[in-house]
Amino acid sequence: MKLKNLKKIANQIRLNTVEIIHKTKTSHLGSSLSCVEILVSIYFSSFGLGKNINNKRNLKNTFILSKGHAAPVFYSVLENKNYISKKTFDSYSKPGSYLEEHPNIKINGVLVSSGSLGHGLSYAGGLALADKINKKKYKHMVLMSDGECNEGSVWEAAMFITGKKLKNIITFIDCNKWQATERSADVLKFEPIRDKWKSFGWKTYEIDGHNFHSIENVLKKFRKNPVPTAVICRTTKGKGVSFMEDNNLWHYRAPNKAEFLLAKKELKVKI
Amino acid sequence: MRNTFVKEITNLAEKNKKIVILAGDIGYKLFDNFNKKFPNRFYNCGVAEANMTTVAAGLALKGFIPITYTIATFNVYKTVEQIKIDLCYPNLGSLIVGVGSGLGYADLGSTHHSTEDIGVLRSIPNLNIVCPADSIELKELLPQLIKNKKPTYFRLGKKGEANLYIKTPKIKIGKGNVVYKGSKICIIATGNIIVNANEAVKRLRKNKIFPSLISMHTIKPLDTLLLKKVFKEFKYVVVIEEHSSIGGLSSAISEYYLNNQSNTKFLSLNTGKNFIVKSGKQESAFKKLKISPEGIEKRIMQFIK
Repeated sequence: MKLKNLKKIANQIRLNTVEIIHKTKTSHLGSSLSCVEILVSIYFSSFGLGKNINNKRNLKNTFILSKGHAAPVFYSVLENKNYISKKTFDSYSKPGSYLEEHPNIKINGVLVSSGSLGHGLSYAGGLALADKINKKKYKHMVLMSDGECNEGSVWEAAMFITGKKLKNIITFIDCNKWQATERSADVLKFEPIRDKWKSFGWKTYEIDGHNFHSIENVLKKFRKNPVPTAVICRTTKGKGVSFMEDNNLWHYRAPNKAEFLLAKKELKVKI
Repeated sequence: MRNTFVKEITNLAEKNKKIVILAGDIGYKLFDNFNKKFPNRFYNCGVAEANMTTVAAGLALKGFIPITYTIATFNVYKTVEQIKIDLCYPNLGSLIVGVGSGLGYADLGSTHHSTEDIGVLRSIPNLNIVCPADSIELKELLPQLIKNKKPTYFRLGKKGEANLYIKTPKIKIGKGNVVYKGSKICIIATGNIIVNANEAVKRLRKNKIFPSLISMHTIKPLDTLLLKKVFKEFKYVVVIEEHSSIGGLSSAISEYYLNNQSNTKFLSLNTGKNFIVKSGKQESAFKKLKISPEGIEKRIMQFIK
């Protein structure tokens, strides 16, 4: 797919995400907007995971949203890719809907129920271990947050995957510089995050997480050499809406009508 | 018990190619034979139990039957969230084996005791909890658990425990085993502590007291059919377990007893025993579970009617 088209899809997904959060007065808009390009690359780029991702009846290539709080944008991607219907997407956070504020395994295209941080990479480890036993080479992609790297289990998984010489796992770390309440660099000793992954035996990249060209480049290299790969994606929380960018207010806050219209105007221009 | 476990699982793995063992850097040389026979199906996951448990979930999603193996205290307390979210919510067939459970490692200090493990785990939906009385029960239960394909905590002893049984009885998961039929008193025990109960019964017999003895190897799901009979038939019921007074077998039986006593007025309002899905926001959830103000009022009115 051409870069122009990927950008177009990204903007549509941004708009849908802002709208659904506005309508339902739910949280995690900032965290959703920072990982749009990563998700769009995984689902739409010709170097991504292709069709039938997370096909639970015949599990091959998988994607795990380990930062489960970005569920709104994930649902928006699933809707755009026809894993779920528009009607299902619109049922988000309503009574009677499986589309809760964190992904639920009952939804088509969702493999694991995430939301408690620090589980996704271990899941990928288990899947890749199964592939190793079965002599298969399916790809497993994980999306984590920078705050998530606070969790000890992340580093257990990191050591396990390289220690057991597993392959075909790539994790994108959406480094949007904010955790729930503070700057990620201020909460714990986060940096140098790339060196940390490198020292755990991972192939590492550090890229602009909003640049499709850079993300595709990494995906291309991963396809050629599918060793455990950690991609430090430097991103902006609330990316795409000027007054939300790098403002942690939007970790929890939902836009009101006026704010939504303003955001819509900015995003419409870009489509 | 651990030697019997390894021997039996090695036998089972011969036929069942889906069995994979994940060990938490424990059991020095214990798995050598298994590892030699099935080098692709044994992995030492290191002292990283949380990761090991979710790796098990990943394997189970791919159709394997993973078994996580380490000392009970580590395999429960360090992994309770992984057990809940990654194994139990998707209801994945797996065995969480805790060795040296209860006071199996009494002398190693509190860090190695697991006398709250059943209490910690029992409220997790979908999880089965099975505590064999001895190596004979273990041998009978293990193939059933592998076939059953449910997330199960298999609470084992250490090694060299005395056996309860002389001959192999018919053991079925979910069904308590009546070791002796007696009168007036019924002793219900779980795990290897039943050997002590058995000794006590022998002594009581000398005083012309003949209690019944039940091995309640499956704590969850609880054999309520058997309990119903017990409470109908016996004047005294004694529960024995190598576990805290809170949350274990006696709690499980008390819950059953309170909920089924026609003479006891007891009402419990709570969030139920299942995972809660499709609830919408908190208020809708309260309504759905009948613990909204109106729900509570209505239920209390019904109760005191």
